[in-house]
Amino acid sequence: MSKESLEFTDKIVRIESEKDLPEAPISQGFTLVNKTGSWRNVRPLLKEQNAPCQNACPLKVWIQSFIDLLTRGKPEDAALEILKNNPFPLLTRRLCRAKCEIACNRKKYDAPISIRELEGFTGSIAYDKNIYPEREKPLSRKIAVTGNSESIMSAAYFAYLFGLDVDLYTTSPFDGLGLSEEEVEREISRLRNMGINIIAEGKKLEELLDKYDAVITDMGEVKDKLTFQTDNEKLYIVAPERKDFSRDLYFGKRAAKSVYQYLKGEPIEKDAPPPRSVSFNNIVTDYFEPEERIDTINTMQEAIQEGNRCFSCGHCNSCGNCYVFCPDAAISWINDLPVVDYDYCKGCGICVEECPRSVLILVPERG
Amino acid sequence: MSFKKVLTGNHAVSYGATSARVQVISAYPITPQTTIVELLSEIVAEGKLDAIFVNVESEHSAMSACIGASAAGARAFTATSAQGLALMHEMLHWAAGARLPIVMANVNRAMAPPWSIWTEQNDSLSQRDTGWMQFYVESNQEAYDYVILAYKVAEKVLLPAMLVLDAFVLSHTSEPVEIYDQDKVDEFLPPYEPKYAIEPGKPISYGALSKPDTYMEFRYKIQRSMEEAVKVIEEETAKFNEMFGRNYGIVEPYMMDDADYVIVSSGAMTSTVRAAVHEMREEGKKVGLLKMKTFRPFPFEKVREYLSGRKKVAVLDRNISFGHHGIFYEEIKSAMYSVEPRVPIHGYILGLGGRDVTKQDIKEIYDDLIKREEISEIIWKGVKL
Amino acid sequence: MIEIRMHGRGGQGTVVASKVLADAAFKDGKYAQSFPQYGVERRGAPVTAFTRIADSEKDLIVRSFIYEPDHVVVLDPTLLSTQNILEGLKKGGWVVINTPEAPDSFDIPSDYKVATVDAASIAVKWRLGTKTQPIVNTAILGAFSKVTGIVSLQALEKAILENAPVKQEENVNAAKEAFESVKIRS
Repeated sequence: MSKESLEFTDKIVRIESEKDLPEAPISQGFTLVNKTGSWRNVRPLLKEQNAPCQNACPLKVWIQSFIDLLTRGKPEDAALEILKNNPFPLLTRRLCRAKCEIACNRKKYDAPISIRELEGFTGSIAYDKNIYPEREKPLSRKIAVTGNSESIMSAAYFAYLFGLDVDLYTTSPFDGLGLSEEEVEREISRLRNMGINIIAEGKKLEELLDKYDAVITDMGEVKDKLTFQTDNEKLYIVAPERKDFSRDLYFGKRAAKSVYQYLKGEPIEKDAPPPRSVSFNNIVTDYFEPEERIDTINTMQEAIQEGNRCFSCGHCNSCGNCYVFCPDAAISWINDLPVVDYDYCKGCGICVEECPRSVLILVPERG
Repeated sequence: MSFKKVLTGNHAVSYGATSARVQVISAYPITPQTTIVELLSEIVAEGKLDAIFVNVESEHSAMSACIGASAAGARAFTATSAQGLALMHEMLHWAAGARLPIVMANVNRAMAPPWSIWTEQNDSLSQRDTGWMQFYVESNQEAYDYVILAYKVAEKVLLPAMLVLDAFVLSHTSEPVEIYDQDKVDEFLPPYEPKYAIEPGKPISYGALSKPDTYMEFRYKIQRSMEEAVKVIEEETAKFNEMFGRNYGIVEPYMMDDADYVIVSSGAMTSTVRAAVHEMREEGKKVGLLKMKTFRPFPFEKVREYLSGRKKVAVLDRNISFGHHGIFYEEIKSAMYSVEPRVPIHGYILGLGGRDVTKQDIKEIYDDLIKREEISEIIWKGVKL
Repeated sequence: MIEIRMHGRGGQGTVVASKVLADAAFKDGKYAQSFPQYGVERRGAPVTAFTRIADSEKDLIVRSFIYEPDHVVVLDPTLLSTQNILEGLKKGGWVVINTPEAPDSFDIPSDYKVATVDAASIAVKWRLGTKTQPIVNTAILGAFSKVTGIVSLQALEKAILENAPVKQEENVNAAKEAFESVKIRS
């Protein structure tokens, strides 16, 4: 705003003393000279916060973000967001217990979002278009992942994404889940297409430990149930509990992360508990209309309609309310996000009050 | 029992209206007046005052509602400031012409543009010729007292009265105010018994046409009532002083007995002038203060009595009549026209738009006054040009 | 006569603080006057308010601003870097600041006495205002009462009970807690 106004600076009459005052009480300058930001003792900040769905999800899928991308007509980006944390969205569509929907803030308003359906539908786009998430820089370390369980499949997937070279030894993948042959073939071929080397045979553990930099298996004694380390620093054991499909997938990811940290020479850290999530009370529900939930999603139109029901708790989906409500026009809109001009923001807090999704917070100004 | 309470000037006015048992209040909010009627609306809503609060959409309507209420025999009250008072202008004439003893508090605020919310007397002095009495108060106690006194005088002479207090310097300043025992106030100010009132059983009409053969007589009667008001104010103030232990007058002298030089002041800045005069007296300067409490009716006699025979007089005006001089200056000079020998009177304009008036300013005015040889009708104190 | 100047921001209760102080002095048997320097009063804008305390009405209290205060009270420490808080302050005067910092940590000339009190935390504890916008006026008056002795704590408590629009007891407790916890520069 100020850049354009600078073109007019030649028209500003400088008033050095009362002698320069014009006859008529007119303002010739811009009110921009009055930097009302000095009045502020608190400042608004854009701070993404966790949503209850995200905290409830064993896989920590950033649900608000993928729904936001989906409803903005970016299904591929939405799918990639899911695939960062969920290796098998088509399986979770059927097998996940959807704790996200139990936690969903919208449940307190009318009905929870059909998150599992949206995630599955969006995941299917990735399958149809052969989209894979980006892999981190290859580490030139090779590991063996051996076993048949979903946790092992997940471990192979994430180890590969972390940049490790993966040989997956499996004779009967996804064993015991009652998947059809087509389903198993679909998932296995996706893992193969990603770049995982799949070997349809079993090998002795000692042999693998000799040959590879590290090994993940699903048989044996675990020393640490949070990192899946064993007494042998090269061996990681992860087995499904079979209580919660998504949680079992997460175990695989956690094991892969431990291996990755070990091979990178970093300390193996336990996961920190998630930060507090945005509660229903933080949501300005006045901005939302009751909308019927769509239980089964088959088309993009249905997906967008259902996605639009999402409160987007703690995630800026560029609704523009702060921009509209700022009484000082101190919020600019850059790259679809609000940017506060602190020269003029008086810290009145209206933007924070009117942010329907609790993304803006007020923090004290330090003198 | 009377009690003392720390109140803002505006709330002192609200208490005054409550003690005066006003029956109809109609007002429109405007800074810095708003808190007067804000508190009154609370007092009415809490049932502590048996009155009707009429919300209106403008000051013009507020005064119209007061006119209707007063015509029906009710004790009516309103309050306003600056542009709000200007918007009432038409109805101010109406209230006086209809001989309705309405009381209004006007919080002196400078007229726009340029916009200002701070004190200056031009808003009320611009209503000089509407037929309203005007009392300029100096403290929150006076603001409270003059609501009661104004009703007493207004209902006796059948003319409306305006008490005028300075924006912020009084309106938002807190200081102790004595609130009187209601029985004593009732004794001083009994219920309003209108001489003329609209009653369903005894119809009369207000606002009829008066042809050239009668109009002039009505004007004459207003003027006579204004002249009579001088005496009524003196009598009622004396009674008030006796009952409530005050020391008010139609004008108020301070250290005037042997003063060679007199500073004439009005409104809240008078307190600062008084302190300055007191200090200058301690320095041996023969200076006194004359406070103009009443502007309409103009207290000719008292002004002549107090200013005759002085060496020099300085009149302080927190106002200006463009193309003329300070308004109090004009009026005092005209009152002194017939006095022999001629008293040199100098006019000082100061404190416009709420500019602070300090003790130092007053001392400088005194120093300036004693040096002046020629009469200066308009001296701008503190203007930065 | 004692003249006190208060510096705060719109929304902190600066004007009410000046009035409560005047009322407390009145309740101690003195004569007092308080008034705000009205300007662009908005939440967050710097606000100045004044209190004059005299032995009696006969002391001829003027009605101009206070240019040479005996003491200053700072309700928002961020004002220390943007305004000349010490302007005109008489030597030996108190500077009472709402801050969690120690009184020694401020670069204030030794001509003045410095006291600090964490009025913001006290206000938050008693749920006065919000966490980001605590109303610190009653707490800082407790500290002022303790260090200057100009008004008694009892009179202050009574004045708070009468003038606080809400949470009267909590405001009194905040003043008491500040009275006890104020720190003085050595």
